[in-house]
Amino acid sequence: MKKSFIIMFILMGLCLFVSSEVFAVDLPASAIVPGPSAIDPSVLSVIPNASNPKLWESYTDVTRTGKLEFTTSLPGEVLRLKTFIDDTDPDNIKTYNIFLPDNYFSIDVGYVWAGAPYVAKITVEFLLPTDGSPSLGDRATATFMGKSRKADGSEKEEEKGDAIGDGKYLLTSLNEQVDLTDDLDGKWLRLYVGIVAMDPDADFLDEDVSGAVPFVPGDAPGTYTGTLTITAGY
Amino acid sequence: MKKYNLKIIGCLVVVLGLISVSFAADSQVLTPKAVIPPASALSVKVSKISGDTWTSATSIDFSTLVFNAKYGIFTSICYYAVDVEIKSNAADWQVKHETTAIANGSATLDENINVTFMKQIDAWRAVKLLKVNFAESNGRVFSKNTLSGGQLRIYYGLATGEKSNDAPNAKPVDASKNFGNYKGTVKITLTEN
Repeated sequence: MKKSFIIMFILMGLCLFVSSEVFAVDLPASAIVPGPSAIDPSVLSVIPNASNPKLWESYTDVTRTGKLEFTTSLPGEVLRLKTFIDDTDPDNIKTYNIFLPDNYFSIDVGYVWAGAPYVAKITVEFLLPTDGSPSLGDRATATFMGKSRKADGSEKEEEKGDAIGDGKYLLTSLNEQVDLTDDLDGKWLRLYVGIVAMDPDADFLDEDVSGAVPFVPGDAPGTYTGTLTITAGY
Repeated sequence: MKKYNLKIIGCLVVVLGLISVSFAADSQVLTPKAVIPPASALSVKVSKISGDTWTSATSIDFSTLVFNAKYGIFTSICYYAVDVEIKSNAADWQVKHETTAIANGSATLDENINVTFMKQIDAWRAVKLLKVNFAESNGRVFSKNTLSGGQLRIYYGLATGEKSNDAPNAKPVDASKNFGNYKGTVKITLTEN
């Protein structure tokens, strides 16, 4: 017993001799990343590539006008009638005739930094037209995406997991709040605003939501409007 | 007979006297002894650098960052130098640099801060040992031999996006970074062998 104590003592001594932590100093390290003081949306009218709608063929910055006008190159800028065939069920092939524009809108909600108070949330809502014109509300959707960049600074490709909330909302019922910390978590908000397509081959960005109504030949001609507001909350 | 005996005693006295003289001429061995105890000390001096002005500090606090609208990144008005002074009479020693993430929830600034390890020879001369981002600076060890002839100085600064300034894996804080307070620690440890 006594012998084992001596051996243990010698071993402990050897351990201390081999390596001993003598001194340690802890330094706190900190930084405050300030929040944005205001929002600064940038609105682009996008013409998608004909064969791959995910790619942008061209775009026009319409931020200054503040007008999201769905147009085509047809005379009078009326919507273009397109035919879709839904052949997912061979026994029940459906054909749709839908009016569509050539463009959709991409709205990047940027920020301005000028000190506190800091923006904590962004509210996006749709207001019905007040001039008696028919509403665009159930004919168009807004898709909420959290955008981020790759290490090289280029935009990261969108995935379904980047969608915020339900992702896509009909304008008519749109009144969504996006929390900068919980929802965006370091990303920035991009809204895609487009006319309901009901395209059976659409991917997750183009899926239409419940209650969506496409423009069809039976609709009353005229100008369908409304107001999309994006508001910073503190 | 008595006379003879006296002679013998006299001889003995002479012989003994010689022996005594002989002893007095011999060297005496002395054993000088001194025990030098292990002596070691680690001290750090933190300096906040704004422009050309160095001020004493107790932490690495970049304070509230400033947004640069031209480049779309956040910058800081200051950076830090930490001078690590080691006094050790051990045969060998190492100094270790450890970090915990400068975090705000799941977001961190670990890739946004340059950490530069220098061997400072004197006030003006220095040798760069390593430049990495904050995350990669964790666990770095510098030996007595590496620091021979100088002392360790560590610079901490926010990445600027300039390749000539930043560590290979450091990048600036861009506008998508979550806002809020980011906190972490740096630990510097002296270990002797």
